[in-house]
Amino acid sequence: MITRRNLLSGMAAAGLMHGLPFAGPNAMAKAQDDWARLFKDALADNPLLLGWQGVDGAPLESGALNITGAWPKDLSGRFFRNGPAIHERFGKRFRHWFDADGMIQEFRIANGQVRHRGRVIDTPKRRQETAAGKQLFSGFGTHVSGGPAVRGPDTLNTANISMLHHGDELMALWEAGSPTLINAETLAANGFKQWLPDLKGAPFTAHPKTDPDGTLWAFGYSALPRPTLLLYHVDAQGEVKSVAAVKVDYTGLPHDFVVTAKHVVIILPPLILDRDALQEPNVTFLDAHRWQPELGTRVLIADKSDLSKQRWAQLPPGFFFHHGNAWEEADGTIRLDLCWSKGPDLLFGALRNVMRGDITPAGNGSPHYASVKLPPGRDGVIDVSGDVMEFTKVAPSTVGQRHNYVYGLSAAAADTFPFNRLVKRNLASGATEIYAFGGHIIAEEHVFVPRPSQKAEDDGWLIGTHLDTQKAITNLAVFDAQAVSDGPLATAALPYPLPLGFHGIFVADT
Amino acid sequence: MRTLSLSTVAAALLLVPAFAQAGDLSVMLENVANADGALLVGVHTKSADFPDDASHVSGQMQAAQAGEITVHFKNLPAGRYAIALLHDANSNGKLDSNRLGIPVEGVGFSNNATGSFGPPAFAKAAFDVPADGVVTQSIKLAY
Repeated sequence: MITRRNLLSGMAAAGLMHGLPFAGPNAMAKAQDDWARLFKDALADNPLLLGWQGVDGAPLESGALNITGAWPKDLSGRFFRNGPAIHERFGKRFRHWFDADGMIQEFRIANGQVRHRGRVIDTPKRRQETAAGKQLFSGFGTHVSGGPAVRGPDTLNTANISMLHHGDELMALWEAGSPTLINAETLAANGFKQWLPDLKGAPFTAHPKTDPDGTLWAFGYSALPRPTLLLYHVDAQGEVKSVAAVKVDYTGLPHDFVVTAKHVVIILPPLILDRDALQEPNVTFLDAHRWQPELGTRVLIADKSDLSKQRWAQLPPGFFFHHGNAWEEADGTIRLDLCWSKGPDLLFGALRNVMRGDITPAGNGSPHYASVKLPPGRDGVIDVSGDVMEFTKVAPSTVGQRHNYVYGLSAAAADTFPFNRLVKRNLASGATEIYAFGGHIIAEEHVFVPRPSQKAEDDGWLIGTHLDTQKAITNLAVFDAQAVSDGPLATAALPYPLPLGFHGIFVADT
Repeated sequence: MRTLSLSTVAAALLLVPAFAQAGDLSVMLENVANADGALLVGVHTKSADFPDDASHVSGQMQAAQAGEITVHFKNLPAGRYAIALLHDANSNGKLDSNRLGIPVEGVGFSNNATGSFGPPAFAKAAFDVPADGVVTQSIKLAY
């Protein structure tokens, strides 16, 4: 009797396996590259690595989740998260956490129940690579040679950083290219968002800011072909009011920004792209960047009412991903907070090493809470005395206004990576409330969701995911933002682990 | 009237069929995204400015159609050439760029040559047209 096994072994003997669209387990093992093997071996010894194992791209669907505690009945809507998720394709493992195709994690929250869906974002890049059966395009920290033409940033767009819901459109955000439109019902990718006719393929930050009145502000940065900062002003309905293109003599890596009531503030770390290095063979985009602290940190401040009105300020050198919020004092001094590092070690070290199964310290990239003052007409000053903090969030009602609290992730030791603490910081006193997850847990960004009848800035919840590497599952937790140290009000347990991601948004049911 | 004017010589030179040392070129355009606008096929000789107009020696324009389309060039003098393709979807006769200067219409080059943040050099896209016979280039448009 012919079984599948007989058939396969017979075909293999006849040399027919070559070119078949599938391969047996042995063939797969042989096809894995050295980083994939290193990671697999390391994962057997260190369960924390589960967060970077990645998934195969199949849709995930949980059904109603088991809940511990009492999920708040008046918290109702959808919590979306995004992040790189398919860390190995065609046997080859990406060389940096930032490189995998994005995956949307949707948590549908209603009547005290939670359901999860996960969908890979099928970008043009992913579709081309799927059709070719191999990786075709280089990423941020992964080099692939011999691929087809790169026509612009969207050829490489992995849509893998964050989400945006604005003007009735749901989008998955990258930062070097366009937002990817997402069908809110099916979660399928539905082409790129083009804000204006002359902005096809233009970059759009992963961290747009929404004023309390619904106005959306964003920037887009491109080092090539000529370094340009785009400043976007979009009204609450999604109509573009203006986009200013600012030519800058800066080729670097800005990631986040802040707005005050009157200004857009973009802080440019001195991690500088060497365009000649980019032409060398096998050099990744990341490795073509040079840390140049002697340049200091430059700050572009543009007037919201006329984005062409700009001034520059200077700060000491530092590297940073995420910002908190900003406001203006009566004399025009801009105040803001952000997560400040002495240098970019995290980017070049830990965030890369983890892909081959090495969890390494954050080094000079250890992020600390810092507050910045930018007085009119003078250089800025920075106070970096805060504790370890990253993935900062504030109440949406405070964007551009003076805020009293900032929420984020932290760790027990300064250069620990990853994070396992949730922190609420009181700006005035510097006091922090902390909830420490266990050492086997990796916490992810928690977003502030206001209570429907919000009475105070911190009257609401913090919701976010954490990976339990002992149970090998991801949980969604909800905290009372006024009692963070008490631990979660409720936790919804997924029946599977999710790849660690980056950023989320909460979209309330209307 | 035995004197040949310069323009007559020039005209004669353009009458390529009169020369024996000429071949045919078939250009197959692949991956045409849609039927919007026109497909511009430019044949160029060696130039540091490739694919700018200065090196352009022959060209054809066809209405776009999705998928594949083949364009023929007859009697090209034997020599080394490179092809630049443009899917001019809005029929304005030029390659459109976004506000950052990044081209946003479909392009392609012979040998499917690619450049680094720009068009490929002539040498990467160059191929020979023989003295007789047909040479074929299959070029995939990239958008």
